[in-house]
Amino acid sequence: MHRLKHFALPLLLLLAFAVLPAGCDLAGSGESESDFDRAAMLRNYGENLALPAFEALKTEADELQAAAAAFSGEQNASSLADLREELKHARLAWQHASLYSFGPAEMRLLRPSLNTYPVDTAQVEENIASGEYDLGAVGQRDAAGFPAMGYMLYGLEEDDAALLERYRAGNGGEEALQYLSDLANQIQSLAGATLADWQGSGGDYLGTFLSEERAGTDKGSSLGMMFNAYVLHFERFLRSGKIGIPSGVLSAGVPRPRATEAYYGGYSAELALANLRAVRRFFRGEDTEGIDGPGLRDNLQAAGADELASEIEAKMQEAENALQGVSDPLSAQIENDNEPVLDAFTRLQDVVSLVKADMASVLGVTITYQDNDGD
Amino acid sequence: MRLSKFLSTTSFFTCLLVSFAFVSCDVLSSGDDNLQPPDTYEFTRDGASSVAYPGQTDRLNMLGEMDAYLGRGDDGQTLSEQVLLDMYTNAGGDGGGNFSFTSDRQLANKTFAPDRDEQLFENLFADAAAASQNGANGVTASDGTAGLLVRENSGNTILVDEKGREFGQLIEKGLMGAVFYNQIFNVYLTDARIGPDVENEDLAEGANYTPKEHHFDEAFGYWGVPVDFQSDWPEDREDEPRFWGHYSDVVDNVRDGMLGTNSTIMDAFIRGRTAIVNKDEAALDEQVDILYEQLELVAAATAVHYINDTLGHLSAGNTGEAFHTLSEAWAFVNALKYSPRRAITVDQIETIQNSRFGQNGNFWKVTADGLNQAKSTLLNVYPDLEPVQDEL
Repeated sequence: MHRLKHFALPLLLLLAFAVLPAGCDLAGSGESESDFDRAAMLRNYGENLALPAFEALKTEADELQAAAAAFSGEQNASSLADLREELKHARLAWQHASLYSFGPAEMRLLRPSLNTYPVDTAQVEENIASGEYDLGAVGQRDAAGFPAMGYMLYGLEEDDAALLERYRAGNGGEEALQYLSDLANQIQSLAGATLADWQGSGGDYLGTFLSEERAGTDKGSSLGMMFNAYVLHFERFLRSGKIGIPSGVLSAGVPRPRATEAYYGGYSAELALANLRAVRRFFRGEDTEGIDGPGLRDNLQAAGADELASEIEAKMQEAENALQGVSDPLSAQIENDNEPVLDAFTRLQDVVSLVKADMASVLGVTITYQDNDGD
Repeated sequence: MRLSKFLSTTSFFTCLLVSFAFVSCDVLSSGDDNLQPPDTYEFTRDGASSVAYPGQTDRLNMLGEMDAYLGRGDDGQTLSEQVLLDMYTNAGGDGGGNFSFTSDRQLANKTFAPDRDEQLFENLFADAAAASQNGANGVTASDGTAGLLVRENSGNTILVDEKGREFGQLIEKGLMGAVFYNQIFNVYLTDARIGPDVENEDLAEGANYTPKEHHFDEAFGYWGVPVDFQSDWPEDREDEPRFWGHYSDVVDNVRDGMLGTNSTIMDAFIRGRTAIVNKDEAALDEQVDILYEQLELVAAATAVHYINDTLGHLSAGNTGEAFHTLSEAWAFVNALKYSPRRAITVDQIETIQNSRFGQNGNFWKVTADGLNQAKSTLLNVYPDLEPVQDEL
């Protein structure tokens, strides 16, 4: 367990302020709550960003489930196209909700359940055949969620005709339909439960999130948890998961195109770009309508770290430009011309170091997610 | 022999006068029935310490060296079942040549009797040795297959069984429960060792303590802390408390010290020992009650702490880290069963171990629901943990 001992820095800064001439620009220390309303910022994140993100995920998951039910009733080109469309919508909604993988989402293991990839196709086939599985189990993560559904809708057979044939009665179609429907139900049930956890009518995590008890920057504070989840997401799930791992950065330069997020659907780059945009909006405190509320950027500026705020904005823009130079299917891009993907990784890495080190220190938040208990 | 108040006061002033000349001054001679609890776990008789627990220190050291040996299995080396058995039984007084010290004590004969009946640890040694062959061959563990798993945060590997459980944790934390807690709970804090009928006048042969004092010190020795241990323990001394003392320190300071187990347990040990010196049975009973309750609470709090960590690691996609912390949680839940006064039932313990942490205790089958149900059970049984459930 690590005790937070970061009162030395503010103390030094106070001393520094005491002896500095007025007008000297100095990065704040995260203790400058007097000139920044942190409670208002948290309220903006909770009410205008997180909650709507889970509402949208729930809406899309409901529609995905309905489309899966329709497909179960009738397998044709049109019902398949509808289902694929709904899967994509749900996955785009996930690009927002995945930033809030703390509190209820962490308790329910939302991210590993909904979006573990690459898919273990052998496990999926085994599950379809056996009909015996608990999709919530750790060992089933890579046979569940959006990626597994992607495999079921694009990768199960060579082409669409064969795929539709596979789902029809008499070809083991019932088992495949059953699995598809179980996947959709699990996604729907997790999205619904997590939303209910956040809502006042349910677990009221929003109330907990905004409570006085969770103010401040310590371990267990709302800002501490949210910021840790944000940086963890950026570093491990956007930078590494969506870009770095498939491009081979973490496997000695050997690319892994099958490890892309939507390998079977072929829109992984689009998801990555949507996620980066969600990450940028989060930094500003901007909701999906583009309405800008108090956010981390404002907190940095209030703490006198304007330069850092501008630099993060600029680097995020560079990362976005780089990602826009990456085409779908991302797996083909990696195989044919990996350079733009590697470049996108480098740009994302530039942001990570600014956010994880510099921004954390200005906010006064400790990064805890890499702690080991030393045994 | 009892000193009158007058004499003791006189001797006190005499002492005060000569204390400028002498380094130590023994006010609290034997038979003084009004000892005030000292600040640290230090007690004297006739100017010399009356506290000794070398046997406990030996056993803590044995477990420490066994743990280091088990670490080789985590690193992908083979483990020898015989070496583990020799360390467990302290063959030849030096663990079959595997201990860096000699001792006439052992862990095996202090193990909880039902665990010995079932050959619990002997079987674990055999399984660990067999699994280490997989590890040495670079086999990655999976559902149904023992082998190595990478702990993502450090890059180190751990050796796990076919259910994903880390051998090092099952054995080390397992023995912390089956030996250390078992000895505290079922031996040294019982009436047989510190009850009204235990000798507390005459000194043990060749020793500076009464048998009753010594038994209580042996319970303290198993807790594994420095004599000045306390809450909000400084970080630069965090390596000093060992085993149970270390885990008390892990949960001590959540939410500004809300649990405060370090000082609560330390005070109870100090006051209990003081009560023995003062021959005050009622005061002793009171402290013993606190010890049973709080030592159990440490195990429960640590289990919740590791369940929280497990959810965090799984959410972050780190299976190796998650199985490490879940192995910890499994063993800390297990340790709850050693207290005869446990608040939790054996049924509840087994349900957590064999269902909540995955069907048939198989970690590959663990679910979010199962982990949250395990946590709820612990919070219901130990309401003190409710307010700190998310910070642990």
